[in-house]
Amino acid sequence: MRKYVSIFVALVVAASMLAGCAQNSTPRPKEGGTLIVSHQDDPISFNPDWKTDDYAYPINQNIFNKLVTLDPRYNIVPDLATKWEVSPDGKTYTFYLAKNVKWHDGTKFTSQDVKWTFDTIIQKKGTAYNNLQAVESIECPDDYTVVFKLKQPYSAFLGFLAWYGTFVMPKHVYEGTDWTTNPANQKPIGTGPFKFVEWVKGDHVTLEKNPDYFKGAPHLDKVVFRIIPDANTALQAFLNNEVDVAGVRPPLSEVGKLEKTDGVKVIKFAAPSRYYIAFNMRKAPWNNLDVRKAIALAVNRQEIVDKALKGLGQAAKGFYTPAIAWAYNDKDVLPERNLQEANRLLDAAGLKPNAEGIRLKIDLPYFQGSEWADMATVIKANLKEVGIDVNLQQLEIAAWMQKVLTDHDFDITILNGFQGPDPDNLRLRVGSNGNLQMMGYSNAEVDKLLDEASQLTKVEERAPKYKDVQRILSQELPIVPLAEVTSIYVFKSYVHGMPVEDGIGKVTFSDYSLVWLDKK
Amino acid sequence: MGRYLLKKAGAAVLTIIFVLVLNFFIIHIAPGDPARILSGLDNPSPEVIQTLREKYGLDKPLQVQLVTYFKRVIKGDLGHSIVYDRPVWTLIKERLGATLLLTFTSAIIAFVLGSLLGAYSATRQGSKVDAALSFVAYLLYSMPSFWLGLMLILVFASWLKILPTSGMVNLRAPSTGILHYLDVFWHLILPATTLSLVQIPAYYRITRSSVSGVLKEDFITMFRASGMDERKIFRKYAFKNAILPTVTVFGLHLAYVVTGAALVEIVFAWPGMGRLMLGAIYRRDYPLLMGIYLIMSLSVAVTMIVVDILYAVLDPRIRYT
Amino acid sequence: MDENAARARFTRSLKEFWMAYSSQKQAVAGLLILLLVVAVAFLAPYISPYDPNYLGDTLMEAPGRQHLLGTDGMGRDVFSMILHGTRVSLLVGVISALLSGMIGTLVGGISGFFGGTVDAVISEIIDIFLMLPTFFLILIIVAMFGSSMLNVMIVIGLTSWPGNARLMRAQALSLRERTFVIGAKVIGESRGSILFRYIIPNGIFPVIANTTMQVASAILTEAGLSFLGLGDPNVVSWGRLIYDGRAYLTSAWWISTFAGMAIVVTVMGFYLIGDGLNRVLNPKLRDERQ
Repeated sequence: MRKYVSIFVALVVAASMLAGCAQNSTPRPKEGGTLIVSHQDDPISFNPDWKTDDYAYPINQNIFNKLVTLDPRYNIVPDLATKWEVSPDGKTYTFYLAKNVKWHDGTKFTSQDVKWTFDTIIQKKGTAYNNLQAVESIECPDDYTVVFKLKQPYSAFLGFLAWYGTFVMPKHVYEGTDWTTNPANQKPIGTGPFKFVEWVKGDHVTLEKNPDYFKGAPHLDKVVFRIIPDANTALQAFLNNEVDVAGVRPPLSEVGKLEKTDGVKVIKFAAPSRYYIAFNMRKAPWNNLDVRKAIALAVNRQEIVDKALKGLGQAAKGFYTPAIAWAYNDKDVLPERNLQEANRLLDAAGLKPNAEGIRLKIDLPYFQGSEWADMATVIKANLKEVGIDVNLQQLEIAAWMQKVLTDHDFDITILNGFQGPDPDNLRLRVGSNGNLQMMGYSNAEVDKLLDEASQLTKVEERAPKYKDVQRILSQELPIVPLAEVTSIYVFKSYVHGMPVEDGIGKVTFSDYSLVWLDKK
Repeated sequence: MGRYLLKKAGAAVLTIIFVLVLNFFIIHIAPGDPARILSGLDNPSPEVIQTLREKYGLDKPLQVQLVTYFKRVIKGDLGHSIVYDRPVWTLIKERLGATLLLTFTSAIIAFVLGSLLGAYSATRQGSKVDAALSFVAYLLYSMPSFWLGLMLILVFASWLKILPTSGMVNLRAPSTGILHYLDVFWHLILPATTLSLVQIPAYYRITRSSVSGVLKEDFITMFRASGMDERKIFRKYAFKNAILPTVTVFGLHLAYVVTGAALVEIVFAWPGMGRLMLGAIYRRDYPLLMGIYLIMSLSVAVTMIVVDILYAVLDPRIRYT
Repeated sequence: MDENAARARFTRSLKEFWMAYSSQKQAVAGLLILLLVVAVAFLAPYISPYDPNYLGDTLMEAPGRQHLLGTDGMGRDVFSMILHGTRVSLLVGVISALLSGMIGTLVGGISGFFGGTVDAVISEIIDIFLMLPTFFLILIIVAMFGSSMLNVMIVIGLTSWPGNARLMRAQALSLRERTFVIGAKVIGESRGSILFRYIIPNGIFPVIANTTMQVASAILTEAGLSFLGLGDPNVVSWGRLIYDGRAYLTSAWWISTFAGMAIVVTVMGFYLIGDGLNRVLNPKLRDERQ
């Protein structure tokens, strides 16, 4: 899941910093060669829309296309749809499709494929189902036009279409079959820049160039995703020249060293994803605002960034990601660290320290992974300073979900998450019925503001509503934001045309169609 | 002999059933819901979760799920993986080869080297070589396999750069035919070395003690007294008798081949069963976990019986009634 | 039985035992290692230069004068962590081995001493448990039910007893034919009392040797679990140091390396003692000097 989140990182902020890089002295791309990308684990299948599957997502970006997609800086860019229109009432989206698109088996791609894909996602409840609930009907006036009719205006619609589980699938292959067991799930047929060649389970997935790609043939002959589950082994393989692109993110502690390593390129930028503490407000003492405030005052956010994130990230200030700047409220922010005040609040709440100076013993479940363990360790040390004894519970993700999301059996927990593609995302994190709202938090005003904002179409009108939500959050503290996530891309410097460098405005995060290799 | 085997086989079947039921309950009672995991962390909806639960029969009572499972297993159907939605047996088959290659290779190397060194030590008890070998054996015996693997990667792949860190084939230069096998062999060196090194002490110790035991037996002393050549005594009588316990250890090691190498597989990104199993635990893939357990218990049971037979063949003193 | 004579016999056999044990160089080495490890475990808070949980400001500092074995990625002193880790490894090892030893002794003792149907049934159960793929059973339970140290100890103990049971059963089978047991039966002592007064005390030695070995393997198991990220995060353990240090292997090799060495030395100590005990207690192996 961490992977999932980190893939979706966006980088609206760093736009100005990187803007100039692409043009200066770009040499002519060399054709041919094999790109080897390290990859965390086996995909579940190559049905791109059925299940949430972080280990298929980067590969699918090379095999399939969406209607619109997100570039590495989180702009919505054209993919199969070359342009689109939104009706003034915000309820009709019309997409005009590229005309020279063929599936990898030679069949022509048409608007019927699009309609079938989204009808199926809605009917079979694919991963993106939740984001498509506003859809009333999908029509195909001709082979190259698709019209989505919505029940009510939904300003986040385009962003969610560009996000997860919305790859267009071949109708002629899947129609009339069970999409969960279709053989194409093992040998996918897409429209993307690379064709599927083989999947050796547990070892690698190989793709080859699609010379007929509608955006122009890619430079590489082959892309190989090499499965290396252990982050350290993956790093060794990268340093040992067995891998060109670190698809498995290196341990944070190694990033600084990699930046100084010859022949290695590291690109970092702030992502619209953040770490935060969530309280279980269903039970005492977390139903007491003063206690939540004491935690906010006691946690050292800078120390979390320095030690747990090895300086890669930024201490959080406000209650939404500053990476989506138009919706960010920089006025209503977290208080500075103040142990004296925290102690005073805890005393006032009746949590007096015992003989050993312990006021309270609490459980902090978190999921596996070194940055989480490190973060929890810092929080434990911080809270000890105000007499709160934290019992760390390291769980694998499945058990964490059960304990926190389903059983609500925790005191505080930490998690992170992608905050985009649209601030409507706040609804699932702090809305009363949000699927990721484990705090037991419910505020009618927040819900009302979120509903209103999602039905407005203009950014200027939506922004004040989201800023109001953040103001309320800063007063009620159902969560304590900790740090902003930094996206990190690591690859060999002979790899050119990486999406994160040359693909801004053109391709999505892991689409290697522009990549070429400059080595003998 | 026939009746003995029958009895053994019966016990094995009992064991397997017991193992399956035990695991079924452990797995299902444990917290964690596969439907929830599959629906994702960032945007799960109750409808999606419910659909997934119905599709895989997870909404039925536990005992119903258990009975359904056993009915299918008897028919030879291990079921479908919840996560991959493919037959469990197919998933296992895809990984079995890599695991067998790694574990058989290392078990055989360890068996041969360990017993030879053990026998050597036994005939030179008290010598410096014997002491050194014994010390190394203790050292390796005490070493966590994954730690040894990490250290070997650090030394041979990262510092000396003479061997690949991980994986099974060189993906930069895919090869076919004989070159392909050489490539796999090249990648096999480090993981197989790691696994053999930690297994060698078991063979070494048991051979050393059984050979030295046999050498003290009366009939050997008699042969010696009769002036028979020392080497001939060793080759013809001592070694053959001393090898028996070693065979048992070999059998035991082989019995766990299917998953025994999981930690090493992870360190070296070796595409085997152990990793499949860990993934199944993390993603709560109940049918896949049960399938792996079944295969594992089956291989343990079968190996045990084979070892028993082997024993009977090698040692005519044992008679089964 | 005459109390004094019994005591004298006991002292004599203890003396004999020590003579036999101390004549083995390796067994003595093992004992010295154990003494050292236990001393470190007790003295850890006094001899550690730093609080092992203190997050210092110098991250990943190489071994040197300030930090003997360097610092880890969170600024903690590795030397102090290893010293404190001794406690955890010992505790996990000893408690789970004791648990396994107790269950094994009891089950095996009852099985061998009572005989008949009881023995047949228990033997079958022991055989079944012997065939369980233990590490993966432990793994599943810890992964699914949480990785507190208590869970880890209990699970290891509950899955490793069959070996002990088998040893104890064999002992009980032979002991129950001995005159002093038969004598006690004739006097009319209860079976439970015979089991605890004669069978177990006289037959426990192989179990003790085996339990010593199990301490070693429990320490290794805990390390393996920690390596998979399933250690208890609230305590400093060697396995956890290796696991955490793995992320720093290229830039801070000392974290994993020294923790691994600590495991090797300690585990070796227990193996050496276990072997030594075995050789003394098992007459067949006694002549064999290693």
